[in-house]
This record gives sequence, structure tokens and C-alpha cells, in this order.
Amino acid sequence: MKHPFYSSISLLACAYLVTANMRGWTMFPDTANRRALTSTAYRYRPSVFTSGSSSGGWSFGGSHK
Amino acid sequence: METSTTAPAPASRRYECPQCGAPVEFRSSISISSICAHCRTVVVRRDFQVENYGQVAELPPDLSPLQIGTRGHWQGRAFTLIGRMRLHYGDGSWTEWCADFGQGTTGWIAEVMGFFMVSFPHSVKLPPFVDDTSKAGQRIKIHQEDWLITDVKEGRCIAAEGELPMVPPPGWKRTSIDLNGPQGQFGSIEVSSGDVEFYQGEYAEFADLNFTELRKVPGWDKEAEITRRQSDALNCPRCAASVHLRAEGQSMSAVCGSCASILDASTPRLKEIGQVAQTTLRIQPLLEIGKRGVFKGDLWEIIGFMRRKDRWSSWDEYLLFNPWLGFRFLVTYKGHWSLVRILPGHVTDSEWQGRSFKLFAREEAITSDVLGEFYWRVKNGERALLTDFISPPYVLSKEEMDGLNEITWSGGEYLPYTEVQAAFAKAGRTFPSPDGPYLNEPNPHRQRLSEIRTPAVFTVIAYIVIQILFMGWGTVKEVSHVGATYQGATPGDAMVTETFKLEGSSAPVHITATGLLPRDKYLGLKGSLVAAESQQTYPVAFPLANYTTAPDGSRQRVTLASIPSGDYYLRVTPDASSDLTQANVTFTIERGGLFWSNFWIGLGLIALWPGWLILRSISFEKRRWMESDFNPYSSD
Repeated sequence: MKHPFYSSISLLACAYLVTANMRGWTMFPDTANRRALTSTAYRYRPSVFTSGSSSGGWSFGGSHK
Repeated sequence: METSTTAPAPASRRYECPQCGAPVEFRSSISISSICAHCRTVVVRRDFQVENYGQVAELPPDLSPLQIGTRGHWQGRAFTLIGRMRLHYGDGSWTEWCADFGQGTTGWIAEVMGFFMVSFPHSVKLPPFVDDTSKAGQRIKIHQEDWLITDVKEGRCIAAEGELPMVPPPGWKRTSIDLNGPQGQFGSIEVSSGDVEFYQGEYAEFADLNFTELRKVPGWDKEAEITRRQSDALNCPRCAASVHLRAEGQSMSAVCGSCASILDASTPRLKEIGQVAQTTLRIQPLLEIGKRGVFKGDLWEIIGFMRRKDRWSSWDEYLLFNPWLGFRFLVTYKGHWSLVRILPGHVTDSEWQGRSFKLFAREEAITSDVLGEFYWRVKNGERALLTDFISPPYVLSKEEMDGLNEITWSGGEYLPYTEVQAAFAKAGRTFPSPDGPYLNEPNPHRQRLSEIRTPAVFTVIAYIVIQILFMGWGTVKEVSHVGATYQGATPGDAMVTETFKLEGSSAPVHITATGLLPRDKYLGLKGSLVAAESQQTYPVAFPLANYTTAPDGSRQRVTLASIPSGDYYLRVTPDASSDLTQANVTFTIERGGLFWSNFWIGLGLIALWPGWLILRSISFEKRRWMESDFNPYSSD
């Protein structure tokens, strides 16, 4: 093996991908879930129009509790 | 022209020398004259008679491995060397060997600076303006092809021996106009007493000519006889100190190590032709003159040292000699070394050895110090315009000297300093290691990058294939639907779902909560996914809301990584609008899928080292080209 260090890194990357995919691991857990655990922002109506299916827009309504 | 693959058969005829009566042989049918080996008389045969055409000088001793009678093969044609002439010009001399190729064919093999030019007479119509006033750099048309004049010099025959196909009267002169053809061919126009002849051939190396019956070279072949001049040291005409020529016959000048005189070494009578500074004698070159070392499989002797400088820097050049291979230069600058050789026949500034070259530097260089001996007439303070083109590890250099009607091309290859050290350093001495990038230093990062290119490409392909296979295997599948109802609970009351089963190995779980909420109401659900058996919890939060400005808020999705199989339920605590009395929430449980972050992390890991090498390589090239006036990275 001409480049043992690089070959080891490459094998490690492949092994990591296989194991992570098989075990369902991730190094970056759902951050929205973690934030939502402590957030109470849902209590307030956003002034900016937000939608996952549209390009968004502006609303002129005030906050609402 | 007919060809023959065996050496020409001798057609020997013997005469008596008209001067001394010693036997004079005419072995070759092409011979017109033969030099009497006894009295140096030029004996010319006319029918069955011979005539005396005067005497020529004895050939100065040399270290050429060739001799009269040496045989060889050139491009499948056998030849025998039958005679030679030594021609002298202003700055040096060279040897023309006459070769009998059989069947009446005469060829000439010029031996100069350790390489050879093999040529044959050709009848061509030359342009009328080609004469002894022609200049190097001019282009002329021969056979509808462009030929470049590379050198024009007047040569005077100072000595001859053996048989020749012409009569070389003592002191005979001719102007040689050397040419390079479009395919690197060698050509020569010889102008003598109004006659103009054209010779065409090729440049050759010693090995190309397949010589046999060579002379044993004194000082290099063990069995070689020591000639008179090897036993009698030469003396400096100025200080009488002994001067030992290491490449006798090839050296044109030598520096007296005692009085710093530059001596003309082209003839046995050393003559003072210049002077170097006394400070030069105090220079201690890193490589010792006279030292021999095996280098790239061949034995070389260091015979000369030059220190040269331009506006910016100073560097050293060592001249190496081997009687069979000729001369090479070892050029060193800041611990970097290159092995350089003259490239006869080279014509282009952009290609050599099948590689493309880039212009790197063009500067006037001055030779500030010289020691030892050289195959040209060195001069202290000699100026030359040097142009360097690079394609690491190679450098192609063009040298144009003031007053010398000649363009010299040389090609060099970068050498690790340890190779030079191993060959020439005194025992226990180490050379300084290289400092900074050098013009033809191989980019070490690019070299490493090219070494890992293949494994990197294969790894990336394998890596992508693995991910594609998992994309098929790890698809998201719906597992269960569970529901829960909010009933205006008092704060702190938890909502608990039914139990659902997760099967298979550990995998991601995606829980989507969908709540049917009245307009402008919210219902935050915070709690955990709970393993029924172990009671292990996985925190989850579903901030459900139904606002006109956030129409998607009534549906929230949470993804949990690596959840093992088993029975689970959801336990969440509601945080609802004060006027919300009831709401139904449905939880959709899905299992499987891939986290693409893993793919990108692994890919980054694979690309990290090559990426680092690419950055280092670019940085190295930028630093290399900072030394150049033709820096492609410069914005000027």
C-alpha cells in the first residue's frame, strides 16, 4: 500500500457510511426538534407570511396570543 | 544511397612516403590523401604515383575514445574511421572524423563538446546569399524547408592523421555554417576558397554510433597506456606552476590555480589569454575540482567551476566530464541542483522531450568567477543573455553570448541534492538542503496528489455506489398511526398515545403530528418517545399552530436517529391557547431512510487530503512564479 494514511482514511469513510446508514446514525440530530423543546414561539402569530409550499410574503396583522 | 551492414572491406594500397620513405597506406577506396605517420607529410595519390603536399602538425593529445580503425554502425550502416582533421577556430577547436561507409560513400563525424554530428555531402541548390558573412539566427530555404543558421565560424586545419577524401594543405581554412533543420537535422555549409558544399545529417550520442575497436582512454581505462603528455605536466607560462588538464583535447581553456591566469588549452602550448580575480582562487566550491563520482550510473569527473550572477541572484555551475559521454553541467542555487546538457539541434523554445515549456526568465548573466577547465574559452565577466523555459522537473535554456555568432540550447533536469551529495561529497560532509521553491523543482504537492489520484477516484466511485445501494435498502416506510385528543387539560397533564411497534435493526424514526386546530389557535406538545420496556425516552416537540400567516403550522415532523426496535408510545405535555377547548392530534410514525449528512461527512473526509494538497500545490506554484518576470499569477 503506497499511501497507508490516505488509504486508511478512505476505508474509514466508507466504513463510517456503511455503519451510519445501517444503524440510522447521524452526527447532526434534528436541531428544529431540539430548539422546539424550549421554544414558545408557536404562541405568537408570525407577522411574516410563512409556508413550506409557497414563496412567502408579508402579512400586516399584529401578534396574537 | 546504397546501404551496407558490415564494415567496409579494406582496399589497401601501400606507397613510400615521398618525404621520408616510410610506408604510407591507402586502405580505403575513397582516400585521396594519407598522412605519413612517420613524418606527417600529406601524401596525395595520383594514378600510381604519390605526391608530397607539405607537412601537417602532430595532433594534440586528447581523451577521445575514437581512433583510426574504430568501427561503428549508424542507422544500420557500417563504417570505419579512416582519418581525421583537427580544426581550430577563435574560441576552440573540434575534430572531424572521416568515415568510410563503403561503396564509395564518405561520411563525416564531427566530435565536439562530447557529442557527434554525422553528415554526408549533398548536392543542393543553396540560396545565393549564403556565404561566410551569414549570421546565426538567419533562416534559409533548402529543399523547400526552413533551416536555421545556428553557428558560423572559420576553422583552420591545425593537424590531421590517417586518410582523407581530399587534400588538406597545411593551414587550410574553411568557413563552417552550421544549420538546424525543421526536424532537428544537422546541416553544414562549408565555404572554402569560393567552393560551397552542403552536408546533411543528424546529431548523435556516443551510444547511437555503436562504436567498436575503441581506444583505451588514459586515466579512465585501466589498461590504457599513459601518453607522453599525461606523464609530463603542462606548465603555466606566467608562473610556471603545473597545470593538469583533465579533459585534454576537449578543453579550450583552463585557469591556473596558482596565478589565476586563464590559459588557452586548445593547443599543447598553453598561452595566457586572460586573468581571473585573485579572490576567485580563495573560493571553496562545494564540489571539489578533480573529484570523480558515479552519478546516474556513469562515472563523471568535475573539471570546472563557474559562478554566475544576474541582477537578482548568483548561482554556481560545475562542469562534469566523461570521455565517452562528453560534458554535463551541475547547476546549483540555494541548495537546489539540476543536471544540464547541451542540446545540439534543438530549435524550439516551447517543446522538449514531448513536453510543453513556459517562459520563466530572461536576464543577462555575468560570469563572475571561473576555476578549472572548460570546453570553450571562458572569460571573466563574460556576459550572456539567458532565457529559461520550464516544465518541472525540466528546464530548457537558451544562451546568446555577446560577440559569439551562436545560439546554445541546453536542457536540465532537477536532481535531489542527496544524489549529488552521494556522488561527490567528501566523506561525512552534508550539503545544505534546498531553500524555497526553484524554477524547475518538481511541485512536491502535485507529485503527492498524482500519487493518490487513482485511489481517490476509486474510493469516491465505491463510496457513491455504497450510498446508491443504501438508497434502495433504506427507504422510509410508514409504521403506524396513533391519535391523541386534547381536552382543555389542566397544566401539567400529559397526553399519552397507544403503543406501537418498531421492527428491524436500529433506524431513524420520523413522527409527524397533525392537529386540526381552529383559526389562530396553537397547541404546543412537548414530551418524549418512550420505549415501553426500558422506559428510555427520546425528547420530541411538536409546536402545532394554525395562523393565517403560517398555514403549515398545524403539521410538524420530528426525526429521531438510531431508534432500536421495540414497543413505543408518545407522552407529550400540551401547551395550548387558553380558549382552546379540544383538539384531535394524529401522529404518523415512519421508519427508515438515510441521513445525507453522513454521506457528505464521509465524502469530505475522502476529499480532505486531496483538497489540502491542491491548495498547497497552488501555493507552491505561486511562490515559484514569484521569482519570475513572467508570473501568470501576477495581476500586473
